[in-house]
Amino acid sequence: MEFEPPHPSTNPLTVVPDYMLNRPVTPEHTIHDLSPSAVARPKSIDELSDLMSITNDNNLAIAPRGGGTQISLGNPLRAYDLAIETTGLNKMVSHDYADLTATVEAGVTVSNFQDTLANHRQFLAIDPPLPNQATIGGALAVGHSGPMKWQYWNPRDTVIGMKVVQPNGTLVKSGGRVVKNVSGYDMARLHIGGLGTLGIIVEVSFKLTPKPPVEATLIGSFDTINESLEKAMLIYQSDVLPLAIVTIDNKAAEQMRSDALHQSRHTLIVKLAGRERGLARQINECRNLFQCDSMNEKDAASLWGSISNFGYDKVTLPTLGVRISAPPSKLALLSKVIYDLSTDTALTPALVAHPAHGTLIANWHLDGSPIQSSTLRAMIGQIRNHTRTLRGHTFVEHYPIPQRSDLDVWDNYGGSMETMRNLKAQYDPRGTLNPGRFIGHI
Amino acid sequence: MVSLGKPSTRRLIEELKSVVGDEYVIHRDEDLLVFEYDGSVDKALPTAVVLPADTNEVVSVTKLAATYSIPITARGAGTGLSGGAIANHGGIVLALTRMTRIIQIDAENMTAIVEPGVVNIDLSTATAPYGLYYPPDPSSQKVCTLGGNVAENSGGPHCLAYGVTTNYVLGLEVVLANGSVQWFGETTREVGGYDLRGIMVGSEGTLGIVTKIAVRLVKIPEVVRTLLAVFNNVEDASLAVSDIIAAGIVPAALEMMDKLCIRAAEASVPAGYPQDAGAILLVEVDGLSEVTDEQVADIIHVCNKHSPIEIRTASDNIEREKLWAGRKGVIGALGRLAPNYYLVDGTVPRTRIMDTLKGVEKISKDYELPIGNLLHAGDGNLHPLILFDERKPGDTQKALEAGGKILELCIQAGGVLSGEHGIGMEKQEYMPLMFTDDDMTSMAKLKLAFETNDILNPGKIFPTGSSHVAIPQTGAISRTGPDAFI
Repeated sequence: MEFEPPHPSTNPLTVVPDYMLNRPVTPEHTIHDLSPSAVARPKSIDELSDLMSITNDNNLAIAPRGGGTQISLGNPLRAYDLAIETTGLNKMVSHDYADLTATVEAGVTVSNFQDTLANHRQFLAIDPPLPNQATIGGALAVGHSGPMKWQYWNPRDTVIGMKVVQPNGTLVKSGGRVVKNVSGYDMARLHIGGLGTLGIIVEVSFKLTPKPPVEATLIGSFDTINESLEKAMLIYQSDVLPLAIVTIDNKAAEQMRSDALHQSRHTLIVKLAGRERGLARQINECRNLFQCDSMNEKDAASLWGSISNFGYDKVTLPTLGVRISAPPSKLALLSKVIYDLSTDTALTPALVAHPAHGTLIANWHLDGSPIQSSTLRAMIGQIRNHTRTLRGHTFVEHYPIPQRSDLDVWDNYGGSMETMRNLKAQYDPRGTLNPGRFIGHI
Repeated sequence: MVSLGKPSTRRLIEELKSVVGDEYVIHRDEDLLVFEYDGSVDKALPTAVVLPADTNEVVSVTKLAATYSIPITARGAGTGLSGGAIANHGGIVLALTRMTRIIQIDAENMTAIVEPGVVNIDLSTATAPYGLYYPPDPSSQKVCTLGGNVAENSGGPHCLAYGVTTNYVLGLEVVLANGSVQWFGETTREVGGYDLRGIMVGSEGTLGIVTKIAVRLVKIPEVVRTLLAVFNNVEDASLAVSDIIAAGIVPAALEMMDKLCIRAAEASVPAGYPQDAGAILLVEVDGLSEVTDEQVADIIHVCNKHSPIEIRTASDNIEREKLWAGRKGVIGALGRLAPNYYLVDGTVPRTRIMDTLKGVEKISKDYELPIGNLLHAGDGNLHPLILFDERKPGDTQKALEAGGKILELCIQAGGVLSGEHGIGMEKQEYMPLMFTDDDMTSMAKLKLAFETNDILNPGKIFPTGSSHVAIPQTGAISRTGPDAFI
């Protein structure tokens, strides 16, 4: 099934009212190597709805944009007429703190939202990269999260209700503002991780988490990455329930430039939280499992920021990066696979793992080294083969633009591509939203 | 209702027998009777009940259904409360109760893969030696199947802290209406593409037939502490609930019962609930011993602000089981008070529990029907139990209308139509109370993306007519009995 627009798209400048095209086109709006003809930043959900009804009628190819932190994610766009910024949808709708829920428009930044929630000692259990810039809608559309997800599940588990503007401009809602709900299909799931290909998320209701009274971060370092991962697994399987467990290899430590990290060693970092006595007990149990120091609050906050941002801030942005999801016990083996394959191609990877979640992030800085496209493709192919053998998947988060043409950055997931194509055909029959950018180039 | 004519039916039965074996096709009217209802007593007789042994047989049966253009309704233990497993358009009931293998327990990575017929509690029993369990615990967990749990996105008393089925499903092997087999997700935490596993959970058997389920397991908590707080009235108890949540305590379970339920329970399963109490809270916390001690102290502190008559903590497992026995036995116990009940399921924001219960009380007076209240209070999930006698002319209709009023009340309070029982046949006509035509059209597109012939569990979720409250909601009526669970 193809999703090419039925006839060539129109120049947005001629069909969209001027007042809607209220932003200049800048280099920031370039996705991969395509630039849009115009940029719109709707000031309300109604305006977005009107705009999308026009873009749909005229087969305009649109790419929604939140904070732009993960703008290079995905396969190359087939067409790109108009960028739609969601940052104008920036109302905090309500914080029902006594209900531990909140509703917010999608263009609010993650940091602003968390700051509001912090007034009542609550937080939203997602921690995407660059939270000062990343929007709620963008973070959900990408669907990945940061280190905290292990204890608090995935971003999808925090969403209790959602409003979406569909490609044809109609506003639809699902869920509600209560924490337990099975009324109709769980439609929000289509859009979390859907990269804005079935609609644009405009408003979200979340269930929140009370802030734990006290937190602690423990840090220890090892000669080998295997040791750090082995210790991480011991903690994962113990009575301790950390908020996050992360290992950072020596190369990633070097890139993060954090004073807290020993740059020639492999680091294990554990975040714990709770009430004082419970926390003290957890710290003790961790100390029995690995040799570690307690970090002060300020240094810890800064280090966790660097970990979340790894691969996304200017300093660590790689040329090539993969995100592997696999059973936690297989991460040591997969790390070895990545080191070995990199050695074969004379590259050096930087590895960050979230072992409890089974996530391994490997980034490479090619620094202009003349590496063949076919070599990179072959390496990714081999990483995918190895991961699949271990019942995992490899998603390519970063890839050099001139070389990305026919690669699908998404892996093959259980033969479900046909169903995914059917979904796209139902919700975006004209293929106007992020055409070509998602899994299977749909 | 799909009707095949006798020769076709005979041919279909023979073909089904050749797929699963003679003994696993039930087609004589007298044998079909036990499959015509589920946890509700709405009834519809299927053409045949088929019990497949594995995924391949499910595929073959699905293809036959497509060939004959007759519906397939998947069924687990039949404990559902919204008519999800009833073949209301006739056709094949696919009973998955033979597919009971626990295929894999990966203790190291805390996951398991099971077949859909595995009984909920059996999974936790099997994983207990590894110090792991599967948290979603519907009250029917000793009989209900995990496949049914996936279809309904089941919750349970402990989903307050632990979440519902969808929070534990990592992957599903699904047979689609055209007979193709796809995995949605696997055993990894993250998958790419559209979240098909999340879409499948709670889709009430309308999108595909789940033949394998991969779930996440969690560590068995070190300590469990259970506490009973007794109040003069539901107002005080409701305020205590809101205050516990607002204080940043999320207990593992936080259940409420009103006077009517307390009396019924005590008369049937003496749990030691005071007979003169207006409301009780059953609160459970779990985790590290250091933490639970403090949480219990904090909860007692909050409850003390709302004039409790008594607060009691279970000192051992036997006392704990006893406190829970009363809660779990309420439904059965209601048989002492009335021949029938209509169990309503709705959720409101937790801060609106008190207002909503007052509204329920008024409805009870207006309709002159006693209504007991059993709540998963921590989640704001209400279960008003409307007592009536179907032998009295007009009583059934009154109970249904009162139930409808309660749902309207929930929606007005910012709540939803169903917290954990699903829409099925019971609430399909109420959908427009909560959703616009655009919302429902969008849901219908989802169905169409999965199948266009409406073979899988047709006639569920979506409203059948334009008038949404006038159609009799017979699916909601239950007789009281020991096999009803909430």
